[in-house]
Amino acid sequence: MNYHDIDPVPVIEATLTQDGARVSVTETTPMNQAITNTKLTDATITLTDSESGATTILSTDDSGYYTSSTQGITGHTYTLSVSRAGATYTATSTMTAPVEIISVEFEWVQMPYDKVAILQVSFTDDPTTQGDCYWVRVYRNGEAYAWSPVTDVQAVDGRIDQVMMTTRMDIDEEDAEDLLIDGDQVTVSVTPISRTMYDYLIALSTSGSNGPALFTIDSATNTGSNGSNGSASSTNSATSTNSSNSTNSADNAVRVLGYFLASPVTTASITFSPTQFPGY
Amino acid sequence: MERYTLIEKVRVACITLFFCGAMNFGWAEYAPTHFAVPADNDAVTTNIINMGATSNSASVTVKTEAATEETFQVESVDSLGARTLGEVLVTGQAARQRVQATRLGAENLDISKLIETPKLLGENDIIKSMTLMAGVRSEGDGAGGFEVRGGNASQNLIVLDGMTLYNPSHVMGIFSTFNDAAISRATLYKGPIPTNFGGATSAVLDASLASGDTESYHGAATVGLLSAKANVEGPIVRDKLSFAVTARRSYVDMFLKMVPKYRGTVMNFYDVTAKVDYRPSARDRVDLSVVRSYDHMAITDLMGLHWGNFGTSLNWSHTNGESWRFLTTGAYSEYTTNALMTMMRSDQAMTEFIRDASLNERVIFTPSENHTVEVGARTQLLRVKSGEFQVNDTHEIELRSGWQNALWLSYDGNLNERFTLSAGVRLSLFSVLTGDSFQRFEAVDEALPDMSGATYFNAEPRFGLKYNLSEMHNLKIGIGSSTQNTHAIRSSATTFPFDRYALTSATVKPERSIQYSAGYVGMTANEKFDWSAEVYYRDMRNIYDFTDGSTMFSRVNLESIILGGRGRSYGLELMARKNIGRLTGWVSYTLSHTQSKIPGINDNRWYNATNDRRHDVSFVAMYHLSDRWDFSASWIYLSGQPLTAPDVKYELDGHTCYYYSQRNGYKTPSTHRLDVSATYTRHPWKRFTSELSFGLINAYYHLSPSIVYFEDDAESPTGTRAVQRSMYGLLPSVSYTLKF
Repeated sequence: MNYHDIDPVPVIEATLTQDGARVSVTETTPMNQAITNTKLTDATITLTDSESGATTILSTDDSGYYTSSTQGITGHTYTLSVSRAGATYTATSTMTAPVEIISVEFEWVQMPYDKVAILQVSFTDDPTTQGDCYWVRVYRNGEAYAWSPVTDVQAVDGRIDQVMMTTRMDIDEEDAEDLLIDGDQVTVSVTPISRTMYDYLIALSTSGSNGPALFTIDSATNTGSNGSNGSASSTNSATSTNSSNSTNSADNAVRVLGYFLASPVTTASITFSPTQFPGY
Repeated sequence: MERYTLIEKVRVACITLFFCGAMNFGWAEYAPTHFAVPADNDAVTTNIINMGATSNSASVTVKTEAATEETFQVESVDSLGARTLGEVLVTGQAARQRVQATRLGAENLDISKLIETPKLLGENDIIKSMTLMAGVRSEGDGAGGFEVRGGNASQNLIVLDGMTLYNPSHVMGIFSTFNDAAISRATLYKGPIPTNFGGATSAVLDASLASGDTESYHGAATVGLLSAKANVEGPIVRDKLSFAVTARRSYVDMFLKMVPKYRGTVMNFYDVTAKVDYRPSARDRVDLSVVRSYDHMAITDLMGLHWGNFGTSLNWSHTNGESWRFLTTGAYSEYTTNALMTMMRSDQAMTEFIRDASLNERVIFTPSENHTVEVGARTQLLRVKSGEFQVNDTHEIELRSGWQNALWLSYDGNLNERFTLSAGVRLSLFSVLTGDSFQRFEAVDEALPDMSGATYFNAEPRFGLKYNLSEMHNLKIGIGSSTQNTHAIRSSATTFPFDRYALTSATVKPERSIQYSAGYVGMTANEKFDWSAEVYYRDMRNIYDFTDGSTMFSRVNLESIILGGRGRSYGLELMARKNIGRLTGWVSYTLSHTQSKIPGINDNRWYNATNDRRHDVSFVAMYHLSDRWDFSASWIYLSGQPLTAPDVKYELDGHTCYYYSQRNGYKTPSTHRLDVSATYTRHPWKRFTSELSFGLINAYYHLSPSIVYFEDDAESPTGTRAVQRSMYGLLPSVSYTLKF
């Protein structure tokens, strides 16, 4: 592929949990280079509790993350503001109550080509509300393995059972990134998310789409708005320079990717023991 | 004894020549009558005034029942063994007919030639073969639809004996549901479509099932690697009532059951057609047609995908005197899909349907040989379930209905020796039907869509003018406007059985297109060669697409996840054919550019449409070596298809994500492929013909792109890679057919 050359786009990944806040600011990487995840530390980041009015300025740690020990309080709405290079990116998120993980199970299911280990994560859902969305994340020995956004459409009596395909039984045929082997520690986290965040995560897993913008932008000379095609953007040539061989005039827009999520995280773990699972 | 096949247009009727039994005639334009010429039959001898046969061609003059004489060009096929379905030729395919046709872009498909093109897994597929013609293109390897002049497959109207077929494809599109044994006639309208057709903003494929022979029984059976099929036809009441039935079923799943690992895998399809043809008098003809196709793909106790068409139509043709014809059609068709999945404690299902009931009346007045006036009316009830989701205990559904009516008036005739005019207008009226009987919406946490009523009126002018430079050369221009009220919203670049369909509503407007075209057609004096060149420009309004990031499952309220915009396409089509001799075939080239502009997508800028292909080349050759051996080959080249590929990547929560700066900003590698086939014909017994066919798809093993996607690659220095999947490797096939 002869990829187009476009300017790097800022990426903000911000979480506020019951344990504190953590924000990373990075930039996109060209397709023909490896992602380095180099943290940008020249931003000013504030976190504001809309209920109490308290504002916290996050500071960088040794890894380049912006952190704060401020704990998210259920029911409070928080505003994250990231100022950098003449632009301010803002997002809000409301802290919801944590879910309870009821069970984490594996079962072997026969597919046409092989048996596949299906992971089923069961957790609670508030049956009195509709439209609840969740982000189920799976880690293999502490490393990111898979994620799946889910809504309460599939809830039954206040319980959601989310299934995800994982590794094949014939491990010689499995790709390294999908492989689970005997003894692997599989950790599952469930986080309540907004519908917009759900749409964003769905879009990221859909080829060719960026999803909705989760940040608004105020730049030095232009009031930003929610951009189309998946990133917040505002047109402002004063704060963004284009490379000479850029192919897209819209690249002049100031854009930002990522999310701000104020939400409690619930986790549970299971050891991958293939011979012990039903269907082996 | 020689066999002859009619290859020229019959002015008074659409007649297809068969070579068994006696001669009979009919006038129904939409349903050709079988026409048999056994030279030793006295009855025929009295009707054939002159028959001058040579080894390869002959002319036949026939006195029809209306006491007029018609002269047909016929071509000797081979010695008489039995009537073979491959000899079913559609009238009007001759070079002279192509040159003389008034309507620009109208192609009477030469089915006998189309099915001589190389077979895919032993199956003749008219739709696949049709894509070898100029201006007609396959959606892609493994896709079932065809695209015409910048339109996508869902913007085509496919009509079979008056019934509309939606997405007629098997195996996710690898085969069409058109069993070649069932089809007798087909016409593709790429340019201005006749006023009696509506509901398509791209093209119309108008086909007819073959009627049964009224004199004797015939049949055929074919066994291939993938499927088997059979057909039988014959008289119920001699000269009055006949039947024709075809059936086809795949049996891949039978082989799969032999492999323990695949024992639970189900993968089959079938299709059945039946036609009963009744001729109560010389002036009347009534036929009843039924079509059923069904696909079943499943993994036992885990998931299932089912989809299929059902359609039926009743056609009555009545001739009153020399000048009046009345064609009445009542039709019903239904397209349904059903997807199920059960995994541990999760049960999910999605169903959809389109139901279409219509009544159509055409009155054709021919005051003189050179002038025809048609008036007509159509009323049609559409009921579309865009989605019904059942997820465990949760039920969601969106169902809408519409009433579509149309009136039309058209004139076709010669203004003088030089000019021929085809002009008309279709007035269409679409009303959104409201109330509990016609609408239903249930959803969880979704805003109620606008279910209010609305009525849309559209005038659709259709115009064509031909100027004869000489008997062998002419110029044509055409302008045609049309509207469409069923909108397929597609998640992928190609038609998928589970595409969702939106019906025109208070929010979704009727899709409109207008096409301007001009062309030149010419041929040699002996009709051995003919050629054509056409240019077109098409403007499309109210085309719909998913919003960025939305998929068919995002919301049951379809209108909340789609956006409407514009499209435009322009192009040049060149085609040259060799019609006579041992070696026949054609070469076609299409240069085209298709773009879309939908507010909310691609920063509101024009972008190359997903079906944009700049260059499309086809070479088709058929060689008749002897009475026993026939060979064919086709080579296609398609330049790359627009692709939305990432420009940069980033990481969230340890996962690689991609950022796309523009829609369809890249192109896939080009597609090219050589397909070849050979057929060995013999006559093992009297009245029996057998054919052993060998085929090879992708003969030089070029892996053309079918899907391109991006994924992590731990072994790559960049950590990611672009992956291209191909539909076809080297695909050999063999099939055996026995006919009587």
